[in-house]
Amino acid sequence: MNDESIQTGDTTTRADGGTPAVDRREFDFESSENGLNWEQHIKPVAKYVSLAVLVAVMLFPVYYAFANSLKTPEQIFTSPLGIPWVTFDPAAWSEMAWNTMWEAFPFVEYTLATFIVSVGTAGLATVSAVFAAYAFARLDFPLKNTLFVLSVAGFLFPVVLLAIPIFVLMQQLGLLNTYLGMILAFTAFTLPYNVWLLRGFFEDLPDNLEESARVDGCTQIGAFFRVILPLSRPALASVFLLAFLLAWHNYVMAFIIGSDELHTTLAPALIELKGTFFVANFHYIMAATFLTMLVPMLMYMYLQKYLVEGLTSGGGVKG
Amino acid sequence: MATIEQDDDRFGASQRSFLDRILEEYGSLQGLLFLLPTLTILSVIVFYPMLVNGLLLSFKQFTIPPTVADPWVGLENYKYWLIGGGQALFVFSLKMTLLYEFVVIPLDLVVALAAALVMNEAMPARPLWRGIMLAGYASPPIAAGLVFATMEQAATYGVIYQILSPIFDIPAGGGMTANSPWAFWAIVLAKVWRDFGFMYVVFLAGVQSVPSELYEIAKVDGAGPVQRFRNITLPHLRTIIVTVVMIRTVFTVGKVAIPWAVTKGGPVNYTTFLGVAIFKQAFINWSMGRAAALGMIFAVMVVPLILIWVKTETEDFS
Amino acid sequence: MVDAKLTDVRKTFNDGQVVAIDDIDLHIEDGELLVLVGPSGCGKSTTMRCIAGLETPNGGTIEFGGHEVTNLPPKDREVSMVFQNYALYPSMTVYENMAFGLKMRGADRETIDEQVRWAAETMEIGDLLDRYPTQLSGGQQQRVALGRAIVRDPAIFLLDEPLSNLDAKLRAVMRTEIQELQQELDVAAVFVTHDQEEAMSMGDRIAVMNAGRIEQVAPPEEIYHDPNSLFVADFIGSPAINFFECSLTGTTIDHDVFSFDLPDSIAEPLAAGLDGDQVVIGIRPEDLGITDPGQGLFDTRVEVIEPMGDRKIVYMDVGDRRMEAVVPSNAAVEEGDDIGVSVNWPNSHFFSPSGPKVLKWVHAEDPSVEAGADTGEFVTDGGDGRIDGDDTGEVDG
Repeated sequence: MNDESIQTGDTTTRADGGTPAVDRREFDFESSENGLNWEQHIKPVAKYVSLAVLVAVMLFPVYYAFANSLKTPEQIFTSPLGIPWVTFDPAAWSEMAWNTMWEAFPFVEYTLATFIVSVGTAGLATVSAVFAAYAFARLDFPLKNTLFVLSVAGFLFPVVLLAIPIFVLMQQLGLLNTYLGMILAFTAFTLPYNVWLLRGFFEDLPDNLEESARVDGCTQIGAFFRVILPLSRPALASVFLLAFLLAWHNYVMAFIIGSDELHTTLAPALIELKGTFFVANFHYIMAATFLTMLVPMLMYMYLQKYLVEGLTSGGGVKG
Repeated sequence: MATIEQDDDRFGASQRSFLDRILEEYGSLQGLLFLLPTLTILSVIVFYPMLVNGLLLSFKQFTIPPTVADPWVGLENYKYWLIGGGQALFVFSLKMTLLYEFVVIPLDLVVALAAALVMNEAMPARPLWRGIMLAGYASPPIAAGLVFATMEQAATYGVIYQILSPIFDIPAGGGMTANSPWAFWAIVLAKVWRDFGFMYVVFLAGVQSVPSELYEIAKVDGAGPVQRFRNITLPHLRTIIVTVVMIRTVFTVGKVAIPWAVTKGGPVNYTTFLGVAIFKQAFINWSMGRAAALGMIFAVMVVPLILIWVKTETEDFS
Repeated sequence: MVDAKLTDVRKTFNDGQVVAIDDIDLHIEDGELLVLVGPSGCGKSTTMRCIAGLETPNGGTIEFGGHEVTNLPPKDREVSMVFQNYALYPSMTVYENMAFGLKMRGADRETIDEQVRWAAETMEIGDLLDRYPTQLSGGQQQRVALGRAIVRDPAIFLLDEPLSNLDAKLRAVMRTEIQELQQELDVAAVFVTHDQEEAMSMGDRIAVMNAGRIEQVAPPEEIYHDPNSLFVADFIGSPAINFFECSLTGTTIDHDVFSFDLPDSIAEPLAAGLDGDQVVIGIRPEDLGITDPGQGLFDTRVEVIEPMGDRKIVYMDVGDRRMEAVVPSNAAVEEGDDIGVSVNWPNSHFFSPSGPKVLKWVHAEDPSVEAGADTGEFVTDGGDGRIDGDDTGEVDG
């Protein structure tokens, strides 16, 4: 204490405040021990309480769908929150959703169609976007600005506004009820964001890489294929996954373009299921919903890095 | 020293080949070639139908199946929404849409920011918890909507209903999803659960990018947690928040899936937000001309927002 | 082997609004290491990029070994280049990085392998061939970048600030190594740097650039001892040259704190070479000496002394300018001392205030003031005051 008072007194005489500041911090530290301290007492508790609440809220709906998909319709009424391995009754397997849904409804076809459309969209969008983005990032051509604005402005354009024009277009082109129609429509929706994201990625790469490749004997295009593309795999993965998920998630377009059973994706199929059998076939809805959630969730679980990178560069963090 | 065989005249023969000339001198061709797939898809699937189909249809009495052979009706479709029989629905829908935005976006923002701050703290198994925060955003909106709709029914399995009904007087007939104003909140819950993940991811990246020295110097200066949040974290996130709020505002206005999955726009038209109204008019009532006109009115309202976004995001691009 | 010749090369950006390089002429001789040095934005990098073919000049011609290459793309120029950030291909191993240029030229597998191993051995990176660039330290990346540049036996070797990302110690090592490498390869090399010390220590010749123009091309000694403009004199040398802004009346030089008479043999050509009566005299810090007060050209006070080991730098104020003198470390001078300052005139330079040098004092006579005790030691060439505007290469004082 004596030491501190000397130092405090000393501070007033020192213009530069060099060493005393260190001692003063120690002084503050000791004095704050008396009361309730945020860092030591409140924060750890607040942190873990909020964590518990957030995790519970996020997981509960997923758990709900999963748990109830493993019950009979009666069990859902009697024990909606029951843990599946407690409530699970092997004897009732023959009437459970996971066993019968494939025959009761064309879920095999729905699932297959969803995969075909999502993979097709992701592939087409990634290939188209990578060239366009590279052109915007590195090449010079007339009307570059205008074309860029046109290419990315669609990012925020509400899909529902395009639903009618695209429905009519698909009718005119004979692409209703086809995978191609859905793939083209989804690609058009996902492209603006993909182009924008990849352009940002290419712009962040040092110019020197292509220059070095050109000095080494490549043309500009050669440098793109041989040096830039191999480097861009993470960014391409982000774009591919985001496009895949857009197609997987979308309801409106899938509903209007693919109205027959064999050419519709899981999202419209779920709504169909709900409209027709809401209470009676409850377990089917839970199983189908969980099935629809499962693939994107697994992708987020294992490929989180790519998805999060793709999302954050869209939020203006990187620019 | 090993050398490559070379003649003295190593530059003499290198007159530019035709291909080189195309690639190096007419770089513009190359650029446009690279743009071709994207521009084709966007033109055929977005620009052409929007301008031709969308605009033309809004002046036609277009129904499916066509009652009369789609006659031109001039401004009739627009009059229907603005001064005619659809006016009440249009005005109500607009009002509900605005209310929806004003409730959903701030809720998204607060939840996302809180989650980002918690997930930025040191804790065991942090990557796992961070991933779990994205469970909502990973879910298809339809699936999220269905699960919430189920939990919001007045039944034994209606978990959310069970929790809320002792506090609020929610009618047992129809539960939350079929009674106003509960249907609105039923959608809001599903929407926030499903959508806040986007803002959360962006905020988390933003919070992580605050230099830790700033917090350290603030601690040395004696700033408490609230002051640190207000004076360091928030200012750092300001531009991010503005951008994200704008993006989400525009996105939310036109999204159909969650309201559709939870309430189908009901009870009656209570949760028929603008996007839902267009969808219903076009693909449930099959009155496409009117729906197209509503879409055009909607587009006029949304386009300025999009232009602002494009302008801010392309400022660096010149 | 090949030389490179730039004639009236001009490069503008933004539709001519920004002139990066303005009609420069430069001849890089076969086997020489030419250093392009200048402050940032002076056009040195653009000049190099024009040589590499990464930029196409808006005017002028570039010839390699007598063949015009002005419009050839980089891939046909047979140059190799080392970039400031090395620009190693992150997706390739060290071996693949070095092999890439050869592969692009269609070399067969054995040739590639032979060349890569030779270059790796030369650069002492033989044990790194399987690594990826991210697994290498800065110095190792630098070696790989150099290896990649020499592996194809380039016609011209271009180095764009290759050392500026290295720490000071490594930089000194690499300087010598690059010089040795260049001599061994016996190839024309252009080295761009903003560091005048690096330029002085490495270049066979130095081209000093400023605002898109070449101010002077000469060997380092000449650049230092006989700068042909205010800019070159100021840019080259550390501590920097001292400038005295004076006026010339008849044969009398007037400065705020001193005045003296010039010999006619200097005053006449000086007066003839100046536009007005203003003249800037440049004197290197080592050409200023310390004397007792009253004994030198003018008196001042020592503000700060920086010991530098074998010598020390004495800072003093003359008028509103801070001047620097370099004296032996055993010179008896302390901070705060009142001193006189003497001048080694035969190494002083007379510039027009607009930039160009008018003449260098290369003369036996001392000016008509007491110039201090040191002056007697000067070795001069005994000739009369020579006008030095024609770059005679006179270097010693």
